[in-house]
Order: sequence, then C-alpha cells, then structure tokens
Amino acid sequence: MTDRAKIANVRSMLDQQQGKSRRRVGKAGRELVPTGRREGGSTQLRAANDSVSLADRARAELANMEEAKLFSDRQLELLGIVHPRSRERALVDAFRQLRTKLYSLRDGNFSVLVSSVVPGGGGSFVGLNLAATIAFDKSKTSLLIDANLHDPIVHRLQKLIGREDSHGLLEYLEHPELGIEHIVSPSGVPRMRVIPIGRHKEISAEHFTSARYRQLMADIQSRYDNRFVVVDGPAMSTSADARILSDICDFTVLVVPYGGVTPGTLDAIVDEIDERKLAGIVVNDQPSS
Amino acid sequence: MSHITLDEMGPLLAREASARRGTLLAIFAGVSLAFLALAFVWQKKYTSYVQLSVDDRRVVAPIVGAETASSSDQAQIAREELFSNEILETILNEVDRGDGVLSAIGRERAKQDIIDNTDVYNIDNLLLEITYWDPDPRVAFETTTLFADLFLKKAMASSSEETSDAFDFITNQVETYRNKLEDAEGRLESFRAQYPGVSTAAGGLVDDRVVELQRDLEATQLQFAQADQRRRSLERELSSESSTIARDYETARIADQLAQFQAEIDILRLNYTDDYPDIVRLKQQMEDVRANASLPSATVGGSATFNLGGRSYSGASNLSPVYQELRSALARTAAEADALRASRDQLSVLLANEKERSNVSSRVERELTELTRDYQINKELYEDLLRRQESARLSMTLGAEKQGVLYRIVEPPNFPVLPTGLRFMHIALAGIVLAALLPFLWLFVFLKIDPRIRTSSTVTDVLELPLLTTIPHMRQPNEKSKFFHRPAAIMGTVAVVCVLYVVVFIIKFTLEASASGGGIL
Repeated sequence: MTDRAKIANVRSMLDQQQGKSRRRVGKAGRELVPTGRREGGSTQLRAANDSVSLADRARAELANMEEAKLFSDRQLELLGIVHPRSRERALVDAFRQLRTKLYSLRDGNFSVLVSSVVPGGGGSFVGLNLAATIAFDKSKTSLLIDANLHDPIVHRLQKLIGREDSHGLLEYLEHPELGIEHIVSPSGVPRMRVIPIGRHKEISAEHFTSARYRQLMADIQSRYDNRFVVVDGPAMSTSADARILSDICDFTVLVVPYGGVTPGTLDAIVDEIDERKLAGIVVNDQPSS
Repeated sequence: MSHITLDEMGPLLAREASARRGTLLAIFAGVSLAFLALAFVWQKKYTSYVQLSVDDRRVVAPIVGAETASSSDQAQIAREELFSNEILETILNEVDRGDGVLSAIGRERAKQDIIDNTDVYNIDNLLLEITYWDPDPRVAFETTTLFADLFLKKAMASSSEETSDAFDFITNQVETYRNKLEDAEGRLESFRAQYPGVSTAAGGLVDDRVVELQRDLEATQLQFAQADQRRRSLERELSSESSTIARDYETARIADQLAQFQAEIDILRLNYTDDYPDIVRLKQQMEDVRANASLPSATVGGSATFNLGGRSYSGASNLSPVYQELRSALARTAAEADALRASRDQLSVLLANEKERSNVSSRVERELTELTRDYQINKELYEDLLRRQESARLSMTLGAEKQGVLYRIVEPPNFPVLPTGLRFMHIALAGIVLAALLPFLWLFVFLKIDPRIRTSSTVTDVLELPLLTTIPHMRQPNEKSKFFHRPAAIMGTVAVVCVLYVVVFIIKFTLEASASGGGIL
C-alpha cells in the first residue's frame, strides 16, 4: 500500500473521530516563528528562548507531549508502524532484535542513521519503526529526525495529528533564531518525538555539513540520557547526503530491500561509508512463506 | 549465481513460491494444457516391420575375389532403392490410404509422408529391417509387405545383372592371361634350345669349383716355396761339408787303428816282454799304418766324381755317411720341388678356364631365371582366373535358379495389433508431472541465477558484513491479495485443469471407439 493511501485511510478515521474543525484550525497562519497556541506572541517567544533554561523548556515540552493526541493501534497498523500489541509477532520481533543489537553496540544513548541502499528500499519504514520500537520501553524515548530530502515522511504523520504547521529541520538550519523546542514535536506514538524536514524550497546537502547541524545533533543527544536519535536519511545510491549524515551519526544501518540489490551494488556502497560507523545490514520486506 | 546455502534453500523456495503463486500457477496451467492439447491430437502409431537377411557377399564376392565394399551403408543403399519414385508410386496406387483420389500435390505429400514414416536399419550387417508406421494398422501392414516385395524384386534383377557382368569380365581376363602364358612358354623353350644343359642350379657349382681351384693353387704354391727353400739350404750344407768331413774321417780312422794296436800291445806287455813276437809284429803294423797315413791322400783309395744340382762332388768325400745322406735328401727335395712347380702351373691354367666359364654361365642363368619367373607368374594368375571363372559360372547358374538371391525374407511383415510409441495416457501423465514440477524448477533456476540479495548468508558469508535482522513483509490490515494469489483461485485452477483432462480423455476414448471399434488408449 502506498503512503498516500495509508494517509488517506488514517485521515478518514481521524476525521470521523474529531470532526472537521480541527483541520481547519490547523490550516491557520503559517508564520516562521510559532505563534498562539502555547506561548502567544512571537517577540515573547524570542525572549523566552534567550532566558528560559533548557531544562525548563524540556519540561514544558514533555508536558505538551503528554497532551498530544496518540494514534490508536488500528491507526498505527494502517500507517505501517509497529506497536507492542501487534499480532504480527515476526515483524515486531525483527524490530526488537534490531533495537537490541544496536543497544549492544554501545552503552548509553546513540544516534543512528537509517538509510536505504536504493530508493524505495524501505529506509524510512525501518527508521520510523526503529524509533517506535525503542519507544516501547517506558524508560526510553526516541527522536526521529527526518533528513530525507528526497522523500520525507514525517510531515505526513504530523498532518494526521494536526501538527502540520510545526517547523522542521531545514528551517532550523536556515534560521538561527529558532530553538530546538520549536522543531521537536510529538509523533502520535508514546515517548517518540519527531523533527520533520520542514518547509523549504532549496534542497541542498550543504545544510548537513553546517556547524549548526552538528550542534543540533550534539544537543539533542546529550539533553536526555535515555533519548535515542534515529535519523531517516535518503537512499545511499542516489544522494551524497546520506554519507554526510553518516559521518555525524554514531552508527549507520543500511536497509537492503529483499531481492532488490546485487551484492556488487551493496559492496560498492559499503565501501563509501566509514567502516567503524556501519552497524550492519537490515534486509527488509522478506515475503512470508 | 546467487549464494544460497543448503539450509536456506527450503525456506527460500517456500517463501518465493508463496510470493510468486500467480506465476507458478500460470506455468502449471500453461504446461498442463499444452500437453493436453498435444495428447489430444497425438496419433497412435501402428508399426509393421519386415526383416531381410543380406547375402550380398555370397554371390559377388567370390567372382570379384576381394571383399566387396563394406556393408555398413547397406541401409543407405536400401533406403535409396525403397524411396525411388517407382516404388512409392506403386505403393500409393495399391494401398488404400483412406484419402481417396489425390491431386498431384497431394500425391507428393503422401509420398513424403511414407518416406517420413519409414525407417531402414542395418542390424549387425546381416539383417536389414524395414519398418513403417501409420495410424491405421492395415495400411502399415500392407505398405510394409509391398515394400518388401518390391525391394526384393528390384534387388534380384540388379543382382543377376551384376553376376553376368562379372562373368563376362572374368572370361575376358582369362583369355588375356592365356595369351601371355603361351608367349612366356615359347620364349623359355627357345632359350633352352640355344643353351642346352644350362640350368638355374649350375651357377653355384661353377663358383664352388673356382673357389676350390684357387684354394688348391695357393696350397701348392706354398708347398713349392717350402720345397725350394729346403733344396737351397741342403745345397748350401752340402757344399760346405764336402772337404772337411773327408779328411777328419781318414785321420780318425788311422788314429783308431793305432789306438787299437797300442791296446793290444799293452795287453800283451802284461805277460810278455817287448821282444815277444806278437808285440814286435804289432809294432811293425803300427809303423806301417803311420807310414801309410803320411802318404798323400790321392794315392789312397779310388777317386769318384759325381754331379748334383749342377755342382760336382768328387774325391774320397763320398765315403762320408753324412755327406751321402745330405746328397740323397737333396735329390729327393729337388724332385719334389719340380713336381710341385708342374702342379702349380697346371692349376693356374685350370683356374683361368673355370673363371672364363663362370662369366658366361651367370649371364645365361640370369636370362633363364627371368624367363622362368615370368612363366611362373603368368601360370599362377591364369590358374586363379580359371578357378574364378568356374565359380562365376556357378553363381550365374544359381542366380538363374533363384537360389543365390541377394536378400531373403527372414521375418515376414507383421500385422500390428498394439500401437507402439507414445499414447494418450503417456502424454497426459507426462503433462501432469511436468506441469507440477516445471514451476518449481523454474523458480529454483531463477533463484540460482538471480544475483540479488535474498538470503542472510549472502550478506554474512559473501560480503562478510554484519546482518542486524531480516524484517518480514508487513501486511496491511486492509491489504488485498491478487486474485490468483488466493487459495480458492489456485485450487479452482488446478481443479479446472483436472476436469479438462478427464473431459478430453472421455472425448478421445469415444472417438477411438467409434473409429476402430475399441482401442487401447
């Protein structure tokens, strides 16, 4: 099922639950700096950015998260997101295995780039579900950063929970006045946050080489010990972004679509990334017997 | 080639088969229906055959002598004769093939059919088997019978022709060789008249004799040289002996006499005095002897002169025994040497004669040998040809009486009751089995050839990369499978194929039964 179809499905369910009003509100003004809903005027926000400590802001954010709307199990299944109560045991177990193996690579939290070898290989699917699986554990949280310039998905989730107006990664990198708390938003899955790609016309890999991006990664990883960062990167074969993103993350997970890539292609791509950063290969979408 | 371990093969096949259910089902349906169609149109084969024994060598080989050309292409020869237009036309005319009157094109097609359905084998160069199959057993039988008859007729005709040709040829050859033989005989006779007493065996004797004479001559020469040498040394000896030996002998004789007298005197003196008369007499005698000895030798005894070998020996020397012996030995040796010389001369003359004769005889003998050889060869060839002529005459007679035919029917044509080869059942069964196996075979080959990563071992063993996990396909709650992926559709398709098989079987059986009053499928 295509993402578009999934979204249509989930949207219709949400509409039934909440009526049309919520969407209309969501489509209200789009300023660069968030307005109204929580803090009020933009000038106040800037002042708050400067004065309020990081911890305070985080606490405020967590409170906001708790209030955010969560997807039901049925909705998660339609969206292609695993949840602990899923009947597809094999699928959930596979993600749990992936998560456990990554935990074993390092003590404490880490940032991992999940990237497909070829476009359409399911890199975003694995990244999203890895983040969701990490969040199964009530003592851990996960943050999914959508860095896939070619085929971003997180903003679609945001639309479904009425957060389509939230700012994203590219805006953060462009505008120094934006703080982290402006781009981190709830995902609809408990203990899982997301940073969408953001609205920006210019699609350029140079953003990821900037010091600001490095700083962002360092900040979000060091802010909470139990927060695991998952970066959804573009396909390795088509974009240089993935390699740049790989340099900044602790690990890289390569997603190989089942029956979609020859060993030669995979070998060539593995040669291009840092060997120490390569956590391993995930074979995705193996048909069931 | 993709890397698939043995452990992975089973689950991989199951997974892929499940994912490609539609394709596998399509292959199954396609193959099974194709075989069903083939089985439906497949014609039963009734094969009739006839076996002919090949007696090729018995007739032609003894005439021509050598082994005839190898019989390995016997089948090829037979095929060419069988498929001649004449025989095919006859078969078309005489066998009712159930297709009525044919157009020219139809006839050509029918002929081609006959050729295609006919096989000629050569079994161990002894038997020739002609087989013919047809959907109709009657046509198969009649065609085979006709083939055998026509072939035999044709072979017989060509055989008798061949035999008489061979006989004519041999008769000509016999004539030629007889002339040659007579010619050789004549030449040999005239030669014998010219050189009577010459035989091919004489050559050796003359040579032996020359060798013998040569050996004798050499021996005689050696003996003569020895005798001559001996004579010369005797002559030398004799000439040195002649004077000294004579004087010594005289002196010794006188001394002996004196010593003898002295001895007697000494004996007498033991008993008597010197004036005893005997002693006085003896002394007197001694005085006489001494007086005689002092006289010149010429006065004593007679003188004798004799000639020997051109030298003269004279004086009192002939009284010496050594001298006398030497003289007699010399005489003997001289005589022997003379005899040997005469013998040597005689031998030389003989040898020269013999050599002369040997030269002449070797030339004559060579000529005689040539003539004899020529005659012998001609004679042998002529006799051989005569024998063959005789056997050819026999073959001709046999051929005329049809007892020496080329081919003989060993097993007459049979009327086929049971069809041979593949039948409906075979094809249908093969179709079902193949249709069931081929999809999986195709899948197996596809997975083996397709290099794309499907198994964990490709990642871990071939590329030696860590594999974190394999994520199965996530099934969406409202995901709909394709029509032909549904179990019901699969079962339905298989059921339809089976029903089709049964239906075609019944139709075929009914058709057969109505056509031939019951047949075996």
